[in-house]
Amino acid sequence: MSLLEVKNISKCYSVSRRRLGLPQQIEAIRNINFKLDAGETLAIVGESGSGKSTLARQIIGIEKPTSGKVYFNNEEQNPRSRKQRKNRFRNIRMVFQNPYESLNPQARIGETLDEVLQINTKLSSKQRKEKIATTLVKVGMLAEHQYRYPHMFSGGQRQRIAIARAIILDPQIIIADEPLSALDVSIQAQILNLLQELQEQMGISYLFISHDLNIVEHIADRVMVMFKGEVIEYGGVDQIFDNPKHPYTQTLFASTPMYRQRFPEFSTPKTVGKESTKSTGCQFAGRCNYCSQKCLEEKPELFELDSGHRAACFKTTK
Amino acid sequence: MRHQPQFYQQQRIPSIAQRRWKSFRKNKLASAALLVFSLIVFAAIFAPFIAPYDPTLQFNDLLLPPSWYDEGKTRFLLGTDEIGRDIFSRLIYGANLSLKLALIVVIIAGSIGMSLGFVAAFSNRVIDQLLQRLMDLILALPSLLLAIVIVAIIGPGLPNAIYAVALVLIPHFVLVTRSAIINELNKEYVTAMILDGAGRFRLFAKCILPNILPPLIVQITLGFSTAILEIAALGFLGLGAQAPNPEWGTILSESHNNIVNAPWTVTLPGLAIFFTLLSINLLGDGLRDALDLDK
Amino acid sequence: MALLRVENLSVTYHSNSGPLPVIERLSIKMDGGEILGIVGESGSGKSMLALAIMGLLSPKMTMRADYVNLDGEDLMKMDPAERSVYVASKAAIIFQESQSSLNPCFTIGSQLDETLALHQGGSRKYRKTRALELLDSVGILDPELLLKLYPHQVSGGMSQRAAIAIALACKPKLLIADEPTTALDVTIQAQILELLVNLSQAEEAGLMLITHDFALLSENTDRIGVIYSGLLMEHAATQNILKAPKHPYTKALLDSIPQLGDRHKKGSRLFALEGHIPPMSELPVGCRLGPRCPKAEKYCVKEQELITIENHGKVRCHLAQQPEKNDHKTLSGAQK
Repeated sequence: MSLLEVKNISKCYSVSRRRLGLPQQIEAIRNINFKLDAGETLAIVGESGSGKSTLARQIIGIEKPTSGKVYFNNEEQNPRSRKQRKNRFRNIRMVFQNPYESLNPQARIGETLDEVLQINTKLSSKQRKEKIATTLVKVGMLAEHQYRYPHMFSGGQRQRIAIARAIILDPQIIIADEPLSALDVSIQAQILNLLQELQEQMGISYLFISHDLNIVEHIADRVMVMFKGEVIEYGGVDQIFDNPKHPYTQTLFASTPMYRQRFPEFSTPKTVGKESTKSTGCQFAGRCNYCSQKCLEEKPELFELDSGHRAACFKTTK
Repeated sequence: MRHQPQFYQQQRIPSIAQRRWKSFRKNKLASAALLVFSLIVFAAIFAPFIAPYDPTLQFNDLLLPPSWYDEGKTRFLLGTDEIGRDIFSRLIYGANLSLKLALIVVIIAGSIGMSLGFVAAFSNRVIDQLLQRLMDLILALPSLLLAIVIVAIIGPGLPNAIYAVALVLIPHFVLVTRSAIINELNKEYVTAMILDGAGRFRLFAKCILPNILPPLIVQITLGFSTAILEIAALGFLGLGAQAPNPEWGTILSESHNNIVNAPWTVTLPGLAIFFTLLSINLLGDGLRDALDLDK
Repeated sequence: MALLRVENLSVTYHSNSGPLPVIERLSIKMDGGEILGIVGESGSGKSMLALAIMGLLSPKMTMRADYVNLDGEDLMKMDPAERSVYVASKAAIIFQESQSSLNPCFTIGSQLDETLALHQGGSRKYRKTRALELLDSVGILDPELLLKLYPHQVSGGMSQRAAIAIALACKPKLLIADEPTTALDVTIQAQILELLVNLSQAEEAGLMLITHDFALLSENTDRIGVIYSGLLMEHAATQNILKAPKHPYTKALLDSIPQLGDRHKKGSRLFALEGHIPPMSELPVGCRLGPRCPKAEKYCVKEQELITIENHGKVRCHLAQQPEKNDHKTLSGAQK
């Protein structure tokens, strides 16, 4: 069995409409399924608003999914159970996108890290201090840095500290929500290397949320492509990057300069037309170059193409 | 070839408070204001030792000008008022009274206002909205007018004036506290700390409180200056402190008839109020800048 | 005759603790219809270059230059008022956050109309048709509708298109795009970039594309300038830079992007430049890249000058003159 399994998760937010004042349901993610094994990296790709971050929040348990189940270590997670939630908080850690906002500006680095250990472990204060020092060294910082405040560090260093905060509890999974997109290119490579190093040392699984295809290709074992809250393609990195099936995935490749050479046959999408607001039919139909009548009326399921490679498009089943 | 980044170890990393103090010290105007305000506070606290006479003691020299005038006497540094009381002593005791009253007002308004703001920030929408509209209601009326109305209803006198001024100050504290907390709750580092497993109390004490303190401290200093001004205004109108209490506003109202023949009796208490408020407001500005360092 | 010639441009930031160099002695040249890419990390001064040319520097910054020649006139010889009018008629700039560069209080239509009235005049009706033409040319399907909308009512891609339309209203000879696609989704990025390139081609206008993303420049630009810490490090034709970068920093930037088909393997690492860009107040002695450079040697404590390399371009590194021993790809191999 797998370390983390997500079954049919959906999340609705109610948003009050301006005119009538009636709450309206917006489905941020719909029927998401996936498994994550120990030591593996699953990358979630999608544009802004595709529900990547919402999914992360449901998995870690900071929000309760509207429907669906999360299994962690083969145990069904009850969103009401405080004990299970605490256990998940300890074993699934998160690294945020913006390193400038995820550290409390009023606390020294050591204080922030010490807090994590105080809450979650029974270590003595001396043991905690040692643990903080070794963790900082592990992420490429110096032990002395624990006496400094966040504002004394550059973006890349802060992201290292955020990673230290995530790994200090020896977690099984780290959810990294666009951990590189706020950083400069040369720093991105540093952090990417660090993440890989830690995975090899500690056997952590990553749920790596990103929109950057070449980074995903570099780090992922499996890839899940999301569009408007739904998974539209799922498969191993070789399957997705050698043979993308869904028109949206193909569009992504066609829009990224580096991949255009690999897939010259893929076309860029139609100029954004009217988005289909109907919940029936394929979400991508409005922008799809291969859209047929069937696509507008019926919602395609995730069809299994070959072992583990699935795509939600009628075209692929032919 | 791998290059280790070079780090130069600093001897000691100054704490946030030290950095703020350093930045405050650089602000000349605010430092001067702090000095002036400290002097006023010092004079207020040690009023019985500094003031040469009892503030209500009457001498035979009526309306004596300050000592630097030809007619003045060195015994009465700032002259005397129309019934022969030493103005210097009255002002010193007045400082004592004004600051004491303002402190009480700020403590009452601050504790009630911050608690309500805290409640509003953490409670559901109905209570939050109810509290906010109530505060809007109080803010809708000019504060001095409202204080006068309240005192007119519950009767003049010092305790009632304190309640009235405290009431008009409460909304500011509620709104500042509420918005600061809500602002903090949306920060990513708060989410990060929740994910660290922090309970509500720890979250509030370690993460939210230190970050909302700056606006609250600024609000407290501003509230202090407003309180002094409003209490003096009520005193001047005869609704606050009553004669012969040496309250600055009361002193002003007693002597404003003599503005033509003995201008010092009016200008001196006026100047006392002016400099006190100026120093507090400048201090508040300086604090705001110094506390805002990390933003 | 060049469209834009900048010679020895220096920008200084006057901080509380003294002047700091933001850009130092930077020279570039652009022809009409040419696309110049400027690459640099945040804090390298690349955006300040754009602002300096446009005369939009904040009052705390001053600029000096031998000359900044835009379409035949030297901007440095004009007084500020004259200069701003002249620049506005010849050049336009597009920013990263189009949502915030458009005024939220007015409709897109009225902002476009205002710009048109300022630069071209004409009757209200003429301006309206011109506005519709412009929006049509930036690929907006329903220009009539967009004219009536406020900036917050449209998506990021749409408002970026509107911003481009407004920038085009003055028929600029030079279009500066400062990270025009960074805030947008991948699919929209490609469209906006294509649009910019096509427009500059059609109008014979120069396009200066400022970004931190090398991949973005690889397909579209004619020449690339690499800026690090306020200095031009390498300046050459795009092909030369991509095929055989001469400066270690350019090499590092190219190597730190995962290559095509570079799949996750145990133990495989990207080439990563150690450390981070130095703050303006703590510039290193000698070569700015010195402390981070994988090839730094004794000579690098001396300040480096831009040297012209034949069949390549200009490089600010003494190593560029030496015969190249290894190709840049082996650099990542040496890293292990």
